[in-house]
Amino acid sequence: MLNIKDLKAEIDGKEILKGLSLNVNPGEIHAIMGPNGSGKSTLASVLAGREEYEVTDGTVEFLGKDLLDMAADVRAKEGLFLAFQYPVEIPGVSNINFLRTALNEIREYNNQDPIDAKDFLEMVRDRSKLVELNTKLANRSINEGFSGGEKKRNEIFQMAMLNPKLGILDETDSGLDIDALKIVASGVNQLRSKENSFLVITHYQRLLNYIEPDFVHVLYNGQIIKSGDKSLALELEEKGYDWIIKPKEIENS
Amino acid sequence: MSEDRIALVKGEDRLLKILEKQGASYSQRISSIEAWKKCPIPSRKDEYWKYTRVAPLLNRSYDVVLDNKPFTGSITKDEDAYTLIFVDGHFAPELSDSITEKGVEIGNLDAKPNLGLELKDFTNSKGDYFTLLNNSFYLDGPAIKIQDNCELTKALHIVHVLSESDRLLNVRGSIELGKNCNAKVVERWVSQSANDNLINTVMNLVVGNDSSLEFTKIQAIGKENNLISQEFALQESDSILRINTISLEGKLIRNNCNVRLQGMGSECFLNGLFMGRDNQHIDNHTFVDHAVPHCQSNELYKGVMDDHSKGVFNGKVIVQRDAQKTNAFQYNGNILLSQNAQIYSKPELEIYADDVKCSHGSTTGQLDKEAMFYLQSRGISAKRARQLMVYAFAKEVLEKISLPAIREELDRYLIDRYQIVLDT
Repeated sequence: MLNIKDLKAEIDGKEILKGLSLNVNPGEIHAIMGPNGSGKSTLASVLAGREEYEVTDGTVEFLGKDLLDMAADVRAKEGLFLAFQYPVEIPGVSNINFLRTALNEIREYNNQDPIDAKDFLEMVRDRSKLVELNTKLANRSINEGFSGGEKKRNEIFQMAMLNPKLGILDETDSGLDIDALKIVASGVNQLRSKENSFLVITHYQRLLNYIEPDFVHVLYNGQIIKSGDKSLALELEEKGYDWIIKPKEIENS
Repeated sequence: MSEDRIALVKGEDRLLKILEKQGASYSQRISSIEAWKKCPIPSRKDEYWKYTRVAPLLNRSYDVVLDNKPFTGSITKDEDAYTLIFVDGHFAPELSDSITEKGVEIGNLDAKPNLGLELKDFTNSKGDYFTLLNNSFYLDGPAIKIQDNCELTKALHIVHVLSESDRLLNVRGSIELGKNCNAKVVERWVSQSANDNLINTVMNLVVGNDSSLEFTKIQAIGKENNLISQEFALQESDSILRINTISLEGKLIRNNCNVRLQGMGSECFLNGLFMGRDNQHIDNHTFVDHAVPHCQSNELYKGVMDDHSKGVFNGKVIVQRDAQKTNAFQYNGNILLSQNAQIYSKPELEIYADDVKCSHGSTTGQLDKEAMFYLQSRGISAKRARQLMVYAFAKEVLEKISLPAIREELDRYLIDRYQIVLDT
C-alpha cells in the first residue's frame, strides 16, 4: 500500500527527515512514536502534500503510484487521508457543502456519478453516529466554534465519509480527555478493514490501548531507529525513549 | 481652463432649452453650470480622487439629450416587489408598476419635480465635480416620499436599463421617509449591449424619526460602462439606515456614500461587496458624520480583486465635538486573487469628542494557505478550494441584506461567477 524509501525532507533549509523507510501493507495499523521534534508531524505533512516541505531525496509509492508527484488533492483522490493535529477553522464554508464537494470530486476522479442528495444525508447521519458527532455540527462552518474534542471527532467523521485506503492520524489523541479519546478510537476501529490501513502518529502509548497497532516504530532524528510489535509501545511507556536513543547516539558519535 | 476642455455635453444649448421649460429652478441650473465649468476635472492631486483616474472619462463628449427609440427588450420583474423602470435615465411608465399605498407617493422627477429634494451637501467638498455636473444637467430619476406612520409593504425595485451607447446619464433621485416609516428599495442596472456610457447618479436620502430605510445597490452595469454613484443621507432621531453596495461589473465604478447622523439614537449600516476582474476599477468612498451624541455607525466592506483589477476603500468618519457616546465601527477586508490585482485601503478617523468607541480594521491578503491546504487534503482541487473560500468570504456581506430574494439572487450569482472561473 505505502512504500517509503530513504525519504529525506526539509523545511526552510533545515533537514527534518533524514532517510526514512517504511512499508505498510493493506489491513495493517502502524504506530509512529517518538519524542518531540523527531519528525513525526513532518512525515504526516510530507505524505499529505503540504507545500512548505521540500523532499530532497527518496521515494514514496502509494498503491503502486509515485505519491510525491501528486498534488495534495490528487493524493486524497487516490485514497490518502490526513487527520490534522490542528484542524483548521474555515468560517463561511459549511461542513456539509465542503464534504459533498470533496466526496463528489473524489467520485468524479474515480469515474463515479455524483452522490444522490438523499444518500449523502443518510451517509452523514450514519457516519456522524460513529464518532457521536452532533449532526448540527455538520451544518456549521468547518470547525468554527468547535471544542478541541469536537474538532478531532470531526476529523474522524470526515475520514469516515471519504473512506480512504490509508488514514494518517497526526497526534489525534493530543488535547483529548479519556472519553473523547475512546470515542475517536472506537470510530477508527469501526473503519478498520482488511483493505485499508492506518498510520497512527502519537506521542503517547495511551491511544494504542484503544487502537491496537500491528507494528510500532520509533522515529528519532528523522529516521526510524526501532520497530516492533505492540509490546514496544508498552515498553516505551514504561522506560521512555532513552534506552533506544542513547545507544544510537553513541553509535553516531 | 474650461476653454480648453472638450465639450463634455453634446448639444448643451438644446439641453438648456429643455431645462428652461422647467421654470423655477432654471436660475439654479445656470449657476450650477457656471460652477461646474469652473471646477477642474478631478486629478490624482486631489486626495479624494487619488487612486481613481476619471480624466479619460471626461476628456470626451457624450450625448445627453435623448431621442429615445421605443424600448423593445424585456425585463424580468420580481413578482413580490414593485418595479419602476428607467430606460437610459428616463422613466418608462408603461413598463413600470403603478403603486398605490397609503401615504406613499412614488414618481419621477421629470413629471413631478416638486417631489424631489434640494441637495444638502454636508461633506464640505466645496462642490465636487460630479455633484455639480449632476446638479447642472439632471433630467429625471426616481422620487419616493412616504408620509408619517406609513410604509412600503413590498420592496421597491428601481431598474435602470441601458440600451444606448456613448451617453452621459445624470440621474437624480430621492427617498424621503417621514416619521415612523419603513421602506426597502433596490437600485439595479441592466445593460442591453450598451457601451461607453457614463452614469452619474445622486440620491438624496432622508430618514425621519424612528424610520427605517434599506437601500441596496446592485451594480452590474456591463463591462464597458462607467458609474459614479453618490448618496447624501440625513438621519433623524432613532432612525436606521442600511446602504448595501454590491459592485459586480463595470469598467469604472465609484461610490461616494455620505451619511450624516444628525438625530440622537440613529444608526447606520454601510455594507459593501466589490468584486473586480479584468481591468475593472472599483472605488468605495464612505463618509459618516457623527453630528450628535448616542449614534452608531457600522461599516463592513469586502473586496475580492482578480486579474488586473484595482479596488479602493476609503472610509472617513468624523465624530464632532458634541457627539459623545458615539460608536463607530469600520472593517474593510480584501482578498487579492492575482499578483496583478491591487487594493488601496484607507480608514480616516477624525474624532473631536472624548467619550466615544471607535474602531477600524483593514486586512488585505491572499487566501489563507492553511485553510486552502485543509480543503485540498480532502480531495478538493486548488481551483475549487479557492472558489469555496472566496464564496464564503463574500457571503458575509450578502447576509446583511434583509431581502431574501435579493440575497438568493446574489448567492446564485456568486456560485455562477466562480463556476465560470473553474471552466476557463
